[in-house]
Amino acid sequence: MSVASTLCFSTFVAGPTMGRYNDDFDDGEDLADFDDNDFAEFEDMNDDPAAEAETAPPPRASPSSQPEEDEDEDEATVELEDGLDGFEDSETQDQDMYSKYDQEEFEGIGDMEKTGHSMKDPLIIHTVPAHLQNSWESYYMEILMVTGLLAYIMNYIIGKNKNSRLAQAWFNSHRELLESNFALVGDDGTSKEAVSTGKLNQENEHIYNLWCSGRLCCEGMLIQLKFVKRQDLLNVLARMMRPACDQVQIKVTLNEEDMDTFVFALGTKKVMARHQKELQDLSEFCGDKPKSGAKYGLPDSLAILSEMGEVTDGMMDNKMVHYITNHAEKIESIHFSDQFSGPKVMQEEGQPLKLPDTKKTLLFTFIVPGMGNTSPKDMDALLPLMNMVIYSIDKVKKLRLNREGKLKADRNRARVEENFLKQTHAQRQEAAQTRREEKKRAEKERIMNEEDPERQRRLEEASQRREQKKIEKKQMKMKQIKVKAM
Amino acid sequence: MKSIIHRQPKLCRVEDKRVNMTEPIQVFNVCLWCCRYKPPSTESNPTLEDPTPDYMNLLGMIFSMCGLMLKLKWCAWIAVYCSFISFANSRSSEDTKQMMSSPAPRSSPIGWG
Repeated sequence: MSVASTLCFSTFVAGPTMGRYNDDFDDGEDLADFDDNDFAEFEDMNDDPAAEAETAPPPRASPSSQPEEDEDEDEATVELEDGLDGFEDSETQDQDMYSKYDQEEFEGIGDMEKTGHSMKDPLIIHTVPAHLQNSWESYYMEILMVTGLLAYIMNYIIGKNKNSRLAQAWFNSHRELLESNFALVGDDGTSKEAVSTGKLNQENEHIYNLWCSGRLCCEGMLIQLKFVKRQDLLNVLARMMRPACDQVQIKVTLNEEDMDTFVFALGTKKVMARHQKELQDLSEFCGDKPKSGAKYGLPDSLAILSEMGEVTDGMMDNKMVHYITNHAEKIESIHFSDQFSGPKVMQEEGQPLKLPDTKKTLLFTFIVPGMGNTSPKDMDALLPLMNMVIYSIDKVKKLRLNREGKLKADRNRARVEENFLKQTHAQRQEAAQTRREEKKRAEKERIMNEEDPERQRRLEEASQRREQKKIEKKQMKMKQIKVKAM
Repeated sequence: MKSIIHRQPKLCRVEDKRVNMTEPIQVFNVCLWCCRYKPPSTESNPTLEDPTPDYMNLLGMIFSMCGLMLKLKWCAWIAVYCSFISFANSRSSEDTKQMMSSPAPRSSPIGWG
């Protein structure tokens, strides 16, 4: 292609000049005159020599310019004498044009002739490649992706609306019960006054909160409606493989005087085993394996974790057993604890230096029936469970351990604290050592920075006396220990 | 910044339960202490927080960079999908403008590809 374009270009340039060249010979000048002087042709001609030089590459002129030169040949004839074959100039080219070029001197002439012939073949039009076409087929990938995105957006809107309807249905069915038991129903924590908002707080497209407070026997109750992620298409597809269900989590925080010291948990066997490993208080205070609830008239699927038998006996009265038996499939776990601090904290440096803060809490986790395919009507089925929650709050307030139980509970707590202190002993020593060194360094720096030499001396003496006293004290202690040991 | 007192008193009218229906209804004005709602701090319980929107955001950024630098259209499309998933799973406490701004630059490699 590039060769053809070069040929074209050179032909366009060369074409007119070759015509002029032929015209000059019409004057009848004898070529023999040029033998003597190689440059004579340049002198005689009216045109500038540059035009002559350009005629040198005509041998490579394209076949498309051939018709032009054929015309030129018709117009002017050139007489050549023998012995002029030695000319390297363009003279010989005028006569023969392309068909009579000396094969020895010129390369590619045969090809040119061939290309000349191919001009007569019909044109082959190739189809434009797909990526250069401007049709729908070339955009199939984009269409697919946009369709996927549209499907995701549709699912988002539908899922979000469904979750919202379920939450509203739950609140509508429970509103009356909550408003009769709590002074403050619905609070987002932003208003200055404690005024009931009367609506759920939307934390997420699938999590709704409700805070209730203002009741005797409890500080407050946080209800979390944790729905499945219906708004996320990926989650919807994942749930087709592994079904998940909507949950209602209720966390009741109690005042210090509202609960005695005990830890108790009840729930499905799988969940109890998991909680015993993960939760701080259950792992420390309920070391035994979960016991079956059948002993207390509960379904076999439920297990009990308790600090002591007295607590279980106290909690599992007739009404409670009735509630649990009738709604066993909706209960995932019930957890009452005066030492609740959440899951075990795993820190990188090892054990934390301080025991985690505990709060007297009642935790309930309920499963919404429907296994993901919940309808707003299913929310009414959770109302008896809310009644159970209110009943439990009052029950826990009334439940008091006897003397033995109290002693046992206190001993347990002291044991846990002692274990914790032992484990962290090394770290606490290290921390204390660091603090002491820090103090010494600060004091030394203060003494060094003191400008007055007299004051410096006095400060140094004072610190030396203090250190001496400490050493003496330690020695006294060691002596006392030795005496005691003896 | 408004200071919100955690515990506030609230006056309520409470009706006493009647043993006998012939007795008149007794209504009391009771002052109850109401504790205000405090959103749970995620610093204390990092395990409770859902990491999906953060991971998806990060993946989206990585794919969009790959799509832009290496001129791979499929990377750019995956980045757009990641940003949509991150938006769907995000918490409503985050700024809506911030969430809306993420799909916009991620879709630019698609146009250039």
